[in-house]
Amino acid sequence: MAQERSIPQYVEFTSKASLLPDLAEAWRYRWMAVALARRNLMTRYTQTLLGPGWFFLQPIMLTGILSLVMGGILHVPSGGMPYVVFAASGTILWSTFNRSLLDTSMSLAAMAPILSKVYFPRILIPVAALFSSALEVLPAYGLLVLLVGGYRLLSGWPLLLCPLFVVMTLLLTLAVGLWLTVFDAYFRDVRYALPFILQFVFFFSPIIYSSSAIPSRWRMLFQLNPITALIDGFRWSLVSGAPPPSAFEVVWAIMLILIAALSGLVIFGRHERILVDRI
Amino acid sequence: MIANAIEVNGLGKRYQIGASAGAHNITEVLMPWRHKSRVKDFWALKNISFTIAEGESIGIIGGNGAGKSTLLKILSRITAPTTGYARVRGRVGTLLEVGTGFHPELSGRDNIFLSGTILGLHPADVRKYMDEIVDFAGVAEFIDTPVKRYSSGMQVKLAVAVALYLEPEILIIDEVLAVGDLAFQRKSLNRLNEVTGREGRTILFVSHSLEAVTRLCDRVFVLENGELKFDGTSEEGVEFYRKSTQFASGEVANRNAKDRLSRASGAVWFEKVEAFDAAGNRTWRFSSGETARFRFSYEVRSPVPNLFFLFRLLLDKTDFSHRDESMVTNIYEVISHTALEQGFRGTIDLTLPKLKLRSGEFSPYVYLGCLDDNAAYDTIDANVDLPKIVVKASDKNRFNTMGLVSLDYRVESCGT
Repeated sequence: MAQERSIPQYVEFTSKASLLPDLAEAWRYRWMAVALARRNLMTRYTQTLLGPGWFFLQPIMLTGILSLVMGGILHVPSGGMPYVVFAASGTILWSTFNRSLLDTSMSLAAMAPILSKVYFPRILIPVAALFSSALEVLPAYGLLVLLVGGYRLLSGWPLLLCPLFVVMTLLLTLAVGLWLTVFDAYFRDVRYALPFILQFVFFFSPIIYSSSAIPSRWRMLFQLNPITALIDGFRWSLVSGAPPPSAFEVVWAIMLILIAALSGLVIFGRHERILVDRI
Repeated sequence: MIANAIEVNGLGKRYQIGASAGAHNITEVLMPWRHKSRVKDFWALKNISFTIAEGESIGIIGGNGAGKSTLLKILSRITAPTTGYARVRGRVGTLLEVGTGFHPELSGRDNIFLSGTILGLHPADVRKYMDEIVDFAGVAEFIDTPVKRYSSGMQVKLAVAVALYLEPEILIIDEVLAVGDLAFQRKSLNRLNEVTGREGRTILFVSHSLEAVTRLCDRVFVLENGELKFDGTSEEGVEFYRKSTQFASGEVANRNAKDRLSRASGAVWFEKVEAFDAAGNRTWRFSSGETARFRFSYEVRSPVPNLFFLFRLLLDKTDFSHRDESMVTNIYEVISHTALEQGFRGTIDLTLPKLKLRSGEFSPYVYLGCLDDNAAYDTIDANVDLPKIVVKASDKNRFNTMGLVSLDYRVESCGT
């Protein structure tokens, strides 16, 4: 019996952009995201002595400096827990966000030579950038758990919620990254402005000082920053004795993430087909 | 019934060229009205329509800027059209350059893996073909060495080998096979022939090598200034293209001045290039051993202190670095040791008696410049659609036509 070859459907290309990127197609190409992430990881630390050791060193050094200056000399309030634990739990989640957002937002422009030569779902590029940078910081989480465990401060059942806050952070990164990488493809200003803006956000997030140190009349404003809820939540789920974030904060953060993700997808979908002409 | 693999209707693509096209700046955002006036529209493709049945292999030919690459980019979904639509059925594999996704720091093996997957080969398939690819490229010993330590020839071979193992239903290729040494080019063409022969595989092939087009393709599109001028059998198409290229007259004065001025000062300017065979007929096709003559006419557009002339034959027109390995010959001659005044017109006759080249296509590159500081006045090559020099072997003995050059030789043998 003759085997009937399945006839694939026509794919039509016109000048009209779709509302969203084709996520079903992106899923069919998921192995490509893995390959791209692998490429990022393999190429990043060529001709360095420490190689991937830099993933560990960056958060460790930041924690060390903060503990020394903020905890040891300035005695910044850390909500009752040892300052090292406080700083480490904050900086690692922050490093995840900071690092991945920088990578994600520069990802399209970095892939320009490949973009102009071959097609695959463009959304895989920022997704792969997020993957690879998230994988880089992953080992640091292991160190953090060891540190908190060493102080006998591991929280117990809330630990199960810990990954949830990390995933939310990654989702926020991707959402903002989708916006920024499209802008960065057109205007490279993004990559110069972003580190500065991130530094600003760093100081307005509960990384070096505890949320409880904020005077109550400013607290509302402080909580509008979604990173606050993520870091407070992460700390609460990891370290026993850390106060939980307020329900308002968490709901607000989730809402912001959803809005940013949806609008990010729309922006990306509108531009992905033509940005190669202007990149 | 054979289904259509590709249907294209009213396809057009507009690019914006001008002062700051592409590179956006803040004034464009703040004062769009000021920006508009400096940007010009340029239609790279205009109202193209055709259908391609499953299993057809199409050659696309046309001069520089005819829109060939733009068409391929739209069909492979790299960019979107401005007007009309293209409908494509089946998985598309695209080879627009050699070495897409290659990274110099990674080993040959890693690069095969990454380039293969980026070009659309599933990781499982890359693993399956890994040994064959390494074998095809002939780089087995160096496969775990970073490719930055490879010779440029080896890099190119490895990159082409990866590309030749793609197995999509529709394969889109842009001139990538015109690299490597001749033997490797032959091998690649054969491999591609195999791929074409397989049932149901549709191929779109852009090439400047008319020989390769006739060999691989049943049907030819000729593009000219973004318009589809011819659609028919490859023999007729190649003939149409030969006639339509203005090169018949040899006039180059007005061809692609922008590119030439970006590479040279333009103080002396090529006006006309002609080629003749031994009988004095205008042609760029020669037989081995026969005399070939070239005449270059130039005009001095601003005074120059002296003038020298350089003529090169290259194996690969895409090799702008003019590496030794792709250079067949280099001829250098001082035309004038003394100053030439503006308005001076001259001709340079170059004769190659008993052409010592064997079968093949050779890309000419011609250069006028200054003796003192090597400043270029004008350079022409494929940028003005200068034809390739096509040499046919006259000797019937196959062993006497292999390789690139015919050397004068004498063989003596003795024995007891």
